[in-house]
Amino acid sequence: MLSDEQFTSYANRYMDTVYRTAYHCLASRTDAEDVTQEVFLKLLGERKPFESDDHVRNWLIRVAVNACRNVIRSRWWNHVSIEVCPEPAASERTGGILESVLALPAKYRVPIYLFYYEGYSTQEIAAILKIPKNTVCTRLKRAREMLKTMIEEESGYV
Amino acid sequence: MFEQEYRQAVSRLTLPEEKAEKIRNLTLTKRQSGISKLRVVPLAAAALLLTACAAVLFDPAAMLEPIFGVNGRGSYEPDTVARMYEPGGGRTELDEELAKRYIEPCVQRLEGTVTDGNTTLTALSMIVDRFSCTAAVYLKLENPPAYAVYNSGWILFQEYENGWYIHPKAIGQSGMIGRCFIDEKSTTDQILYCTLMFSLEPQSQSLELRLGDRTEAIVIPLPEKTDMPAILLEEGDITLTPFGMRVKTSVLRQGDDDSGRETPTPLAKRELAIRFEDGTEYLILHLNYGDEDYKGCTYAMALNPDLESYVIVFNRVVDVDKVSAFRINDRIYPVT
Repeated sequence: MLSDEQFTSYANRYMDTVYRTAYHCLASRTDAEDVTQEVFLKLLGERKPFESDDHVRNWLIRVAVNACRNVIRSRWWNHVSIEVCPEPAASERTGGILESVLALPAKYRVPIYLFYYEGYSTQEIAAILKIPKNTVCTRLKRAREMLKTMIEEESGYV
Repeated sequence: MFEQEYRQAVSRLTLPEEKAEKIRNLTLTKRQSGISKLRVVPLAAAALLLTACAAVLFDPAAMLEPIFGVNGRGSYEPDTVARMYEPGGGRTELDEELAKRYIEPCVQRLEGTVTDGNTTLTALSMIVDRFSCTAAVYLKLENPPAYAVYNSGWILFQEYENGWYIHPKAIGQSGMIGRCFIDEKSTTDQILYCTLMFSLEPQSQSLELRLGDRTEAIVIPLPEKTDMPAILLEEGDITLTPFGMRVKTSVLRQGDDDSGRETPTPLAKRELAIRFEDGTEYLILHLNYGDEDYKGCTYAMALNPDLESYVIVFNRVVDVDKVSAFRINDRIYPVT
């Protein structure tokens, strides 16, 4: 089990990573905040030793994605899967390129975040999300196409 | 170009400082609230004795408190790690007379146990309301492996990497979601009592309860019929019982200007209420484009497949013999 000092150190380093992952998944700041807290509660109770800082970061992201799936499943008004997570509400809109990313279906948002912001390879994303590498590649490709279309439409090219 | 702009936008996305501070301080509360393993063995013996007593003194009303009564109330308390769960909607005193008349005869006694290490899950009793497609099962969990967090209706134990759940699964159903309410009256540090509510599809035949990823499950056959009075309106598109209700999405959506949407949520502004013969009204649910107020119910869920119905468990026992009408906004559906 982590010492208090280790926990605080990991919290300081990775809480924004977890929050950003959850926000990309849920498109809701409030839900992302709750998930972030839930994830660090799990970290606090985790008994298996971590091999490295990267191991902790990967673990936190994976747990965050799982926690987000549970949040989506338990939203009482719908039985949506993570594949059809709703678009962000008007109050959540951030403007610019981030809003375009958040307008994508959730299954595209998280790979985009992990690839372009966190710098994970497609192989690593596949391991974190527990999906085949080819699926990650396909989702990234499809996401880029959709973003391109969205950005072109916003610019009035279409 | 995209990458640079995106990275800049994401870097501005940070956890609010208030939340960040709470996370940094989690160590202060968690160390105090974790269950001491030294206390497990003697308390496990006590738990066995309690189980034996419970087997003799079956109380069908026990499971109703977390559904209808004030003892199921919870509050979201992030600083109290050992007890954290969502509010259970508005709470009212359990009307024992109505409960005895309408609900208790439908409470079915169960016997089933599944274990994971020192932890034991026992199913004690169940209500199945086939009219409203809702059900509830009353559970006892002895010696949880760690402190528990109740979030979004799931009981989650912070022991394993992917969480550790009491995981319900109704056979024949693709996406049943349980919502759990803690029986505050009976729960102790080592023995947790709760009522897990869930929705049923008409073809659901049994319920499986597992602990986390364990393959062993308590399998509970679901009765095909419910011995409970029901009011059917609009040729069954609206069904009310003392326990809950089911309403077709098409009925809920009448009057929407966005009825062509593929996904019927978030629903436009809707107010659902039951009117009684004495002129009083019970406001069940208020939907407002995703800004829901569901203090009048303890469980609400859209049913699969195709989200064709909404099911709701009331937060009180409804005296169906005195219902005069059901109301959705200004539309009145009289009980004739």
